[in-house]
Amino acid sequence: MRHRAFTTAGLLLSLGLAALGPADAHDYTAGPLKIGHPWSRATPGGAKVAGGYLTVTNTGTEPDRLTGGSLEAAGRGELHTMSMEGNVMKMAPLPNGLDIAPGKTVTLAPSGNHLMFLELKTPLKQGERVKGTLTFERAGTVPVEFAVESLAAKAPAGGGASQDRSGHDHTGHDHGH
Amino acid sequence: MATDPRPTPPAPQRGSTLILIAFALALVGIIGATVAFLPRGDRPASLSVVGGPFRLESSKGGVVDAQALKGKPFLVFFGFTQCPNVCPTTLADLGSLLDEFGARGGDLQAYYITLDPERDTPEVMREYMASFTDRITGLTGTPQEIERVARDYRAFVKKVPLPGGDYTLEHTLMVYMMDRNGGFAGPLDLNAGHPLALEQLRKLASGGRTT
Repeated sequence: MRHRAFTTAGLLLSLGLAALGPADAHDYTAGPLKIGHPWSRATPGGAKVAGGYLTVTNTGTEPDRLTGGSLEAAGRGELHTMSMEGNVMKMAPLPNGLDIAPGKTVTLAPSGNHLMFLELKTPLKQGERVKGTLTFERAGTVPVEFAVESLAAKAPAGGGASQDRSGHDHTGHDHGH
Repeated sequence: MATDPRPTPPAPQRGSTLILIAFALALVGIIGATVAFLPRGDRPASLSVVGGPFRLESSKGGVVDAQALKGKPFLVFFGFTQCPNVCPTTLADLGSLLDEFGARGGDLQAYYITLDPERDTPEVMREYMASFTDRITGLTGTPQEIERVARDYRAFVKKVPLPGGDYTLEHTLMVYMMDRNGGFAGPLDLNAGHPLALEQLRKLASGGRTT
């Protein structure tokens, strides 16, 4: 029965992802923390910096805090926040990290709080997965992979990219048309 | 008594009505003339308070002199290469828009001026800009030259120190549309979608009003 419940949940999850999620969403669990689809963006030639974006949901009863992150390809990572004031882009480091209260989801995105990776040694290329970590006050350091989206990506890929989501579908009825 | 003519209005009252009418006609004339002679897209550059001459090093080699751009509208955008979020996505978006405009027979060039001349050398700019369309040229210069062009364009820039000892920049994030005389024709709105932005570019290129 447990198995069936799991299968149903899995089915619902995949349906949900197929409907609105990124093409190749990937998730991690660290204790009560659910880490959703860490992603970055392909970097222009010679770029020394890259952004890191993801969601973290605290399903537990204790608060936790995201304090930083790293990328194998970069010297270091810092938590920053970005905001627009009229036509001006404002930036500020978040030295105290980001609280993740029980039951809450924290989103890191290009238009707000994000990880900034500095001293990039190798460019990030669209379509690859790059190794890194996320560091939490309670959950510790969690190894993750960042999916590298296109140079123009303002959000994880959806739309067009979902067409090549699964090779299996193409072996089925799709080819009959 | 019924045959008595009604007294004519007192002369002073009639006079003031005439003055009012004359005044209203004059006002309409003044407004009409003002509207008719309002500066259009091709107003003289001297009237523009945003923009100005520049002579900066090009990511394609050599220099770009704003004097040489006379007669051709162009776009300007400020940023820096160590900008992780919005600069590269704006460059990519603007690049695809300019290519789309090009595919429809339009021809507009954009200039990406760094606000971080200490780190963004011509070589850094050359490598960075190679990731975007040829229609965008990166420009850099001495700190004094960059300060001057930023001031002329009323672009805000401020260094923000980072915990690791580095710094990042806060800056104006706007694509300036400049008319054929180098005068500011308004900001390009990339957030409203490409069809509207293409219409803005079309108006800019044809010399009409853009906003």
